[in-house]
Amino acid sequence: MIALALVVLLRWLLDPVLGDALPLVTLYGAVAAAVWLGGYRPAILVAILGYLTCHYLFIPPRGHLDFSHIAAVVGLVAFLFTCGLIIVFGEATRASHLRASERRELLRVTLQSIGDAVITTDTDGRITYLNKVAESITGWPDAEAVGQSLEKVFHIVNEPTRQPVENPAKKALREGVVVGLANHTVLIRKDGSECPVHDSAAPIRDDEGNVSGCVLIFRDVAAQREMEHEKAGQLLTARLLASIVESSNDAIISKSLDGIIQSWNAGAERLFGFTSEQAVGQHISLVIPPERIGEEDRIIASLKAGQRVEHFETERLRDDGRHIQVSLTISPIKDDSGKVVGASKIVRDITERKLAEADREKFVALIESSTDFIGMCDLNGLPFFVNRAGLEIVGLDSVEEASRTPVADFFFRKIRIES
Amino acid sequence: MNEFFPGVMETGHGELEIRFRHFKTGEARWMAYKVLKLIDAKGEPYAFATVSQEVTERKRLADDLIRLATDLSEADRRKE
Repeated sequence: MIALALVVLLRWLLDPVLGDALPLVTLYGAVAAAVWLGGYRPAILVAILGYLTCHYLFIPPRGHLDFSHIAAVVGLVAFLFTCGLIIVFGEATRASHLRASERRELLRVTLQSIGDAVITTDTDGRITYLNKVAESITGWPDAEAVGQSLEKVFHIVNEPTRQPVENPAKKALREGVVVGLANHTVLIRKDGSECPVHDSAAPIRDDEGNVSGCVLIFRDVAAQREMEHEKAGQLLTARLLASIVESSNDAIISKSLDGIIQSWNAGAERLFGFTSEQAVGQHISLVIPPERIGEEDRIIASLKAGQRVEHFETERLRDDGRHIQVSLTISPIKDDSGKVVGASKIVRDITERKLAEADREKFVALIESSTDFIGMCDLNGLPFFVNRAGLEIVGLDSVEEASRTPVADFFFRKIRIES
Repeated sequence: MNEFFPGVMETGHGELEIRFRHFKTGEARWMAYKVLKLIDAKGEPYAFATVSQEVTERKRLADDLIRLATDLSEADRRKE
């Protein structure tokens, strides 16, 4: 409408120059502007209103809408035809322009919201665009980064060697191919801090297939890197533990809560005689004497309650049927959520110790029941053992008391002991 | 007497009749005191051990016998 008023005003201003000639000429511009700005409907309106106004004002006889002259009718037809062409072409151009800008907007929003960082450059490697993620990873705000050379904003070096890495975008531009980045690349941010990245670059081609720029897509892999380190650390610990278990002299066994043997170390092979292949997958009753099978239920019950069983002395069975004296330490195995899923069992052969204990008991019984004074002292003459009869003969109450009494004091006559 | 333990160190054992004292009553007990030198796996001495028998009673009997014998010989002399 404003355009219409303007052109009518323009024609009126030009009236002294043009006289009665070309009464409708300025309307074409108004129609073109209307179709470009508002589409075909306002354009048609502008054409009709414009014609009526101009006819009334500029076509003689001025001041009347007179269609009686043949020239006026021909003029009208020509005007309508021209306006029709302007509107059809104008509308088509406008629609395609709208579509293109919608697509651009969609792409822009997509790139802004994508999880990876995106930077695009022109063929000279100057930055034309970077998305939010790229801004935050590089530390360069969009306003400062656009127009800068890519190397300045996307400054990368090899992590262990600190050598500069060839920018993948440069290679993609030069060779026209998609380029992935070598591992162990770190990006130096604007503030000098570092960030490990994984990236790739691809040339951007226009409709004719010519390289018109480059798109660089990259990602902050610090979290991923950390997780990998952690995993590697855990693996190392697991290997270390496995080698400790394997080289231990004690038998170390793990079993599920239903008693199925899951691991069996070299110590277990030596102690029980069964190889790991024979034992794994079998029920633990493989090594429990039938009369002691009830113990297993009690052990499982305390494991389920999350309790350890320590130094539980019992008897177990070897592959050759021999009974062996053992001391068991059993601990619950918990999964990540803390649920008891099995048990580890350390089995120590105490057969030797039991024999030694029995021997010792015999000797102690012999000595303590003797009526002779039996004692021992160190080379300085301080007693460290006196038997019961000995204590009675000299009137001492305990070995402890005897140990504070030099042997020389036991006698009426002084005798020298220390040499 | 002071040669006893050095003797045990040298020969590995020794024997002596000696009176032990009762720490509470102060009473004397005659003991046949037998001492051994204990050596470790490397052959180094590390302790002394004793297995001693009380001989107070035997000693008393012996003393009685001696006294009896003395008395008898005294009586013999008086007869002469």
